[in-house]
Amino acid sequence: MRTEAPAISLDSLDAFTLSYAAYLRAFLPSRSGQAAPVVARAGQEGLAGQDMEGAIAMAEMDVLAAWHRELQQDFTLIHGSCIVSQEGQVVLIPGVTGSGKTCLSLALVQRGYRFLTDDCTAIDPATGRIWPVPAATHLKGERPAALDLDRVMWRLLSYPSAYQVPNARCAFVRSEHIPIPGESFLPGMLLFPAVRGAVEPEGLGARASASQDGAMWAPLPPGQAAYQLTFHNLADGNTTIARDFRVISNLARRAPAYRLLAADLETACQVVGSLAAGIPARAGQ
Amino acid sequence: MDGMETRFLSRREGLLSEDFEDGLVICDPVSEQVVHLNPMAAAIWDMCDGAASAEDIVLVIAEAFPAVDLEQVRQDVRNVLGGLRAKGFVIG
Repeated sequence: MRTEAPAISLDSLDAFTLSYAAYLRAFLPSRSGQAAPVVARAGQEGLAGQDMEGAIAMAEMDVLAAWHRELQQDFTLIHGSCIVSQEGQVVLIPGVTGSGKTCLSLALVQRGYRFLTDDCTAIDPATGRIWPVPAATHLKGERPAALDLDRVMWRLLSYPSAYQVPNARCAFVRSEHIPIPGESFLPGMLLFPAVRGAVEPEGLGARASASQDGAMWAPLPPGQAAYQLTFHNLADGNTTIARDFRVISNLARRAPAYRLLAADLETACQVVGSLAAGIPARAGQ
Repeated sequence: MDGMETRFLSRREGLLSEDFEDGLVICDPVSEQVVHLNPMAAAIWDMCDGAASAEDIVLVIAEAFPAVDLEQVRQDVRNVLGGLRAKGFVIG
């Protein structure tokens, strides 16, 4: 019987912070019985509707940041999105802000993948398994036409004007796209999206492949994958690298890695589908 | 090589390293630096055991690759060791 995650309440700021913390905690059974570190904002009850939406959007980031700090005590955190195909292939998309990992992961969710996480992938150092952190996604800038947010999201919140990020939205993924609480996953593939301008096709190397639609991809050897993951992990301010370096290295050894340079989202999704199809679904998923 | 030719070179303690089919990744958890060495650079790193100088390393590699010009080997070794010293991964 499917065990649903706790519902997220948007009725008030306190109701949101409590329910959202409980929701995140539900996906990690080892923490579901513990008290949630709730970030409270005093004196903001009774705000007008628009202010409440912005306040909740800001509170979401506070709750998530507190959750990340707690997770880092026991998990290796990789800055990146993670999704799993209907066939069970788990795709981890590491990348810096602006690399396109959110749009790519949501486009794949739109095509039937399940959403494990957008910004922070939690890996159990003891088992190498990925535990979902299906927090809200933080959308910025213009959305690609191929991305139908209404199909993927149940609510989009606008940030306060003071946030000063163009077209920014805090977006919650629909529950039918999220695994049931308690499921963990073995990583199947690492995909490093390459941003045109930062990496040109020649930079993908002699082993790069190309599609008719202009996408290019190339396998990334495990040492280079481990280097990329570690470099960005350190850049994110990792304070547990002495523990995490081994976890990251084992991840790079187990999961084939690719760099992907695509002209558009549709083409990128096709390439990911083809690459993922070559990954066997892992037993015990 | 600024006198490095004759000084014994050592890998600095406290560094983390992981071996891969395409080389070695070294991470310094204190300075938060990380580097990926291809197999040849990894071999040079491995020879920095406190008992070999840069010139010793050059001669070992030159013997293993006799078809490569000795000055090219010397330049390549210098480049690798220079990079590792700049990051503080090699001392001496």
